[in-house]
Amino acid sequence: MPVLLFWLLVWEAVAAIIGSDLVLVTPRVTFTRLVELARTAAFWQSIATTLGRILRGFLLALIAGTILAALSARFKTFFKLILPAVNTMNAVPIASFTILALIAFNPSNLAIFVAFVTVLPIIFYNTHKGIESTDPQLLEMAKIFRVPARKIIFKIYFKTVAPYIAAAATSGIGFAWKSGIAAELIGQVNGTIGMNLHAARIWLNTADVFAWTVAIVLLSYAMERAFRLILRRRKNENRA
Amino acid sequence: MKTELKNICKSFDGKEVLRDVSAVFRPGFTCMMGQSGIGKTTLAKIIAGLVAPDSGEIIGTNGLKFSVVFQEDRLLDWETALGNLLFVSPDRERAVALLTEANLGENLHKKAADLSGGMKRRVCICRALIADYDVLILDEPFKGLDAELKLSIMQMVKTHAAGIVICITHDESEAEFLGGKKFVF
Repeated sequence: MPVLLFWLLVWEAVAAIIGSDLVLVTPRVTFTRLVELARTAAFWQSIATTLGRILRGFLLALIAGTILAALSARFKTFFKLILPAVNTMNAVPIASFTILALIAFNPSNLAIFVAFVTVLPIIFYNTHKGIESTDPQLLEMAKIFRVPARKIIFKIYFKTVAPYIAAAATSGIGFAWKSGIAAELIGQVNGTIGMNLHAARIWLNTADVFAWTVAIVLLSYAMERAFRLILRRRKNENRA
Repeated sequence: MKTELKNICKSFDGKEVLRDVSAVFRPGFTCMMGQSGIGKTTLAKIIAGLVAPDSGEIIGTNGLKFSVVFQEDRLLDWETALGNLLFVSPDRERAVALLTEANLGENLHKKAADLSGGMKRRVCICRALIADYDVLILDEPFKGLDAELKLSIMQMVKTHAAGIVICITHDESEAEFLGGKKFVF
């Protein structure tokens, strides 16, 4: 809390020095505008639409990235084949993906697609690294004792890989929000957070830009916290 | 049932570890003895099929089931002592009985990571004993156990071990206690 207060004071001071609401609004103006927006149904509709799409893109990337990493660890040829595709996915700018997706898909799927392609490489690299770091001596032990594959996956691989997936997923959430909203903004998708940011830019409404940005940061933070909470609950369930 | 090794040779990075080693293992205890680094563990791994020899023949291991007390503990640190046994066998009742016999009755539900070195070693021995096997390989199974405990655990192994039992040790007294044949490198 003191840290947050410190940065709010820094923000207030910088805004006072600049002295232009067009360039930088104060925290008070930002939060007043955020409260005003929160009183409208359109605000919550935009949030629900964007949140649903980003969440879908993120979850699809989490599932696909994990499966691809598992297949890559199991079949080296598959890894050699898939790695250039994932590397390319990682290097292509969000703007390029957005334009390509706008040509190919319905705009309503834009944020899903862009969040997916942004998060997938993060999940893939980390999960693959986690699988590769599994202790070979434990795998040899399981082989000697003829332990069934299902048990090896859950009791050895999952335990080793889970922290890698968790770390990748928590940073992936932030990237999903950044890329998803950037795509909505470039694609000017109606009824989304990205479109609201676009409108604020057109009307030079800096207070709206800041209010929406604060909302995005809070949403991303809430999603990350919820994800951590689910993981912690799963961990406690496994311990019990 | 017998397992036979004929003229086994093995090198690692150009360094010869085993040269023309031949041996026959029959049901009962065989203690493999010799100085450290002489290739006892490598030979045990070759018998278990974990390492392939450069040349030579292994006869009679096809279809055999192995159980091993590895030189390293190789326990699942995140599982309990009991959980480590249940990882290799579904027989909970026998797992509890073996751990209790190994004086670990009060530590059944303690995570392997939280057990002392000696306790971990005993869990490893219990895990090897509970598994379904034809050949039991014990690679320095009693290291890290204090004298009094070692005696009771050696007795436990002697009582429960069945089939072909190959025990690697460089301790003459352990070999004497377990009895059976000696294979000196």
